[in-house]
Amino acid sequence: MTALLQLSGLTKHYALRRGALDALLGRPAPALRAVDDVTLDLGAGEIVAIVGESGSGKTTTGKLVTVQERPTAGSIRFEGREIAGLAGQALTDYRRHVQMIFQNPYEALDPRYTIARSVMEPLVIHGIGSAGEQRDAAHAMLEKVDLRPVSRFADAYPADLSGGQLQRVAIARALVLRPRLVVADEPVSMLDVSVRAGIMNLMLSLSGELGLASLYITHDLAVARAMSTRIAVMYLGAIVEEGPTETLVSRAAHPYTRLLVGAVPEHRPGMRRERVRLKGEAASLTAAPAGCRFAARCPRAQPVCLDTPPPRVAVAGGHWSACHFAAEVASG
Amino acid sequence: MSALLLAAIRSRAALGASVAVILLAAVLAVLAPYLPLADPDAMIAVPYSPPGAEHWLGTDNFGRDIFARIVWGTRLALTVAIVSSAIASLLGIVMGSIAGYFGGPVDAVLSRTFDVFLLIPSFFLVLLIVALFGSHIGYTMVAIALTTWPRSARIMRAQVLSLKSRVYVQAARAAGASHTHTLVRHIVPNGIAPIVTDATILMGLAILTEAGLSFLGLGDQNVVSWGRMIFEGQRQLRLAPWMSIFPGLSLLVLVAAFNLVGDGLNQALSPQLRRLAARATPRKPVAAEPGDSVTGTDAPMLEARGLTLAYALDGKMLRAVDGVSFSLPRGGSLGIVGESGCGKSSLGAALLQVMAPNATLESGDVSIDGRTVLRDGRVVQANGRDVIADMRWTSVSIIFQSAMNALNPVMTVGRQLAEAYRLHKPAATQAQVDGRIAEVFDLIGIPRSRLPAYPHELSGGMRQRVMIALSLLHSPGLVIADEPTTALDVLVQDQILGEIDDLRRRMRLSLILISHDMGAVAETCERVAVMYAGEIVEIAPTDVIFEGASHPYTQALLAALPTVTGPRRELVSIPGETASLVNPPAGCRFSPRCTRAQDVCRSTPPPRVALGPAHDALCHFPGPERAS
Ligand SMILES: Nc1ncnc2c1ncn2[C@@H]1O[C@H](COP(=O)(O)OP(=O)(O)O)[C@@H](O)[C@H]1O
Ligand code: SF4
Ligand code: SF4
Ligand SMILES: [Mg+2]
Repeated sequence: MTALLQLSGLTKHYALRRGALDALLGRPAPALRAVDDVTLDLGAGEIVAIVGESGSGKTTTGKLVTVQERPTAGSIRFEGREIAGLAGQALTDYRRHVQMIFQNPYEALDPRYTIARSVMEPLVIHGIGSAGEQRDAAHAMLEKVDLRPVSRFADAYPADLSGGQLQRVAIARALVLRPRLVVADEPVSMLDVSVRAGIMNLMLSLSGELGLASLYITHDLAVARAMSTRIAVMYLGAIVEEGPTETLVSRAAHPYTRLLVGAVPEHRPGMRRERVRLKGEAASLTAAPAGCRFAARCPRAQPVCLDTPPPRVAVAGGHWSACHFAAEVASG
Repeated sequence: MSALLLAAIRSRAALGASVAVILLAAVLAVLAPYLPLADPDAMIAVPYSPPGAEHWLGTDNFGRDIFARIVWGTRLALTVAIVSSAIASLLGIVMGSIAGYFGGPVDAVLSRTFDVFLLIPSFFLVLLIVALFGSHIGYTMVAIALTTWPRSARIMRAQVLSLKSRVYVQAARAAGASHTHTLVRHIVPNGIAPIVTDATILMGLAILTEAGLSFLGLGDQNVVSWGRMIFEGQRQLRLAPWMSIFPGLSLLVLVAAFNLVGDGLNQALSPQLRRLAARATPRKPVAAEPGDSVTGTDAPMLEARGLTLAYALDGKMLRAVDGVSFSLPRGGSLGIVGESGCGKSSLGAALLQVMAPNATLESGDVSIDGRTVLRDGRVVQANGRDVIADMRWTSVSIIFQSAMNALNPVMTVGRQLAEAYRLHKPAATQAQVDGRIAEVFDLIGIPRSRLPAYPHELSGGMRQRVMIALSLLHSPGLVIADEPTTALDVLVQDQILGEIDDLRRRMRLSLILISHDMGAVAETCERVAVMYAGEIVEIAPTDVIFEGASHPYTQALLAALPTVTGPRRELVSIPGETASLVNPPAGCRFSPRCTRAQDVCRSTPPPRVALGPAHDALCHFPGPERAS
């Protein structure tokens, strides 16, 4: 079976500004390695979460998949077809099948558009259906995201809606084209817990109902756990561990993942946990790491970690970690 | 009455007058041919007649009626204003949008072009055009537009630059929209408001430029222009001052009116400016009474009773804190949680009386460290000074939400700390200052080597640590931290919360931690207060809140929380929207969303029910969650 989406060796470097002196001396402009050699598969109907801190490259990965950015190297295959170089009509067609949900619901909709018009817009862009059909489709979609009664919302403006309601509209807009893949970038991080749960449940049930695959980007492990069947953890542009959600959360095989799981503030009945004590400074995103990119902060780092990049070590079926000591880490 | 309010009224009156002036000018300009006016070009009367019944504003050297000429001049002034600002705005919108949207080399070339055009003096351009084509009012208008459009272009470019990163623009692109669709349907319509505002200023500018050109004799000789009238008049200034004074006045008034309307529109379109203008009337302070100061360590660190804070908002009152009572023992820690907008930050600000200018403390008593600082909603003063003012920073300090962006960017952090220290200890020697700063840096884990750093050289986590160090400078007994780690990554957040926790234990500091994050509060605080719609609906020791909550809202919040370490379970959301603070629901404020609500909940405010030691809830039916 070929995966719906296959990323291999996906890389995105942003050229940084060169100082005047460097330019004079002919030194090359430094590059910010936002995404560095990312390989990841996503099956049809599957939800994979990408977890990482700010600056780890998760949003850039999402932008590459939705062709808001072009990769520096590597390939993106959708249903077996290379999309990295798509342009023109072929790109527009691809965009029909791959939609995006953004983080900030308060900016997600044009303030001058009514709710129904925003939801209809993708149909208008792709010239699908008559005006009447577009309107009906938008109303049906609003119904699906539980904005009921639809008549109350369809002609309202974004300013009249709460954050949770706006995010529901954004979901309706993303799904109105019936895409096969949705990239959701922190869709609930700006919402309150009570509202957040509603949006998460809605996304889960719609994915099931429409057979939708999702790339769910988040900094929050708890949210990733609730939403996904598989998790990929990113650190400084690279995936450092990938595995089935429950395994990764309970038996992480990478020291960074262990640290992340341990840092989640939570009420843990009858137990006081160690707080995180970070050492060192995070490695730079501009220099290619000589050894393990986590070595500077890793509590288990050994001399080998400083000069030899760790390979992908398979820990179990579908679970791997980019660590020289993956097996030891996994076993506790 | 406050000076600000007066200024606001005055500017309103001025705005009204300006609109009236422009309307009048427009009416005159349109109706000029139909009014019973003298022919402005007819040399019919005695030259140099002073203003009088026959010729209201007198006549000029050719015996032409000045009033008629001014009215006709209005026609020209407005035509120039409208045509040249319309050309300039259109050109500006198109070029500015292209520059801002496509960026890169396109932007570089266009931006240089704007600069070049701005540098050409319009007089020079007109001179050139007049020399080439002869003088005609049409050329003048084009010349004025050509020298002013870069102004609109720059505004538009800035608008587009900020709009193009808006999510709805990205979303349209991601949905497959073309550049044209994105620009024409989303960016330009949302970006032109300031261009329209600025166009009024351009109009004033155009009128002034045309008058200037005519004054220099470069204008169209076939139309009546105020500028030429002034020019002709100034030669006869002694003999017939009315010849230049009246057109001069007209020019001044109309240009000023356009500028005032421009400013007014600007203000009306900016909600921040509007909000800043709102101010609450301060309540009278009261003098401290003998019983207001309790010394010794029996008094709690903080005691609040019935604290109520309201914001004045567009004529309505928004009660963000409503009858909040709690007390915090010395060395104790209290977390305040709740959804955004429930009043957590307002409560923190009210305790220290550092509220927004439109806020009033309507009622309540607060005492800190044994001293009453607020009695019945009135500020307590001793020796003519607010008691709280002397306690801030020394007895109690506050770390604001996103405070890390509040550091002065052009001063090293070391100097900022030194200044803050001297503020309360002016007599301190340099050695004392340095010593104390080194101490607090050590306390909160900032290497001393970072003292000479500027804020932008520090990471977000380090900047937030600097703010914490600042709050600890004068060894306060109580620290109120409002979302101190919300903008930070999990690892840094955990480390900083760990440091705050350590400090508290080591120094017997009392802590109030305000956060939307139940988890963060769970591990840092001994007790938790849950707020909903301005009220504390449940308060209890942390373990009780998490394992035996009694209020349906607390239970609902916990059921909505995803977990990493607990068993994976289905999340339950809370139906409906948070309650309005302007018109809170009758009875229990949570009743429209509560699954346990009965009729009594919708009609009668619930009582505060004591449920155990240091545990109470605001509910008619408190108790463990029932299986349904
Ligand atoms: N200066 C102000 N003027 C008017 N309303 C305000 C002002 N500051 C806050 N509010 C309103 O008061 C309520 C409580 O706000 P806040 O105390 O910031 O809550 P929280 O910290 O729990 O998010 C909200 O409805 C908010 O919009
Ligand atoms: S390879 Fe070494 S430094 Fe990298 S995560 Fe594993 S133990 Fe740590
Ligand atoms: S008073 Fe009634 S409506 Fe309010 S929380 Fe209690 S049970 Fe629910
Ligand atoms: Mg707040």
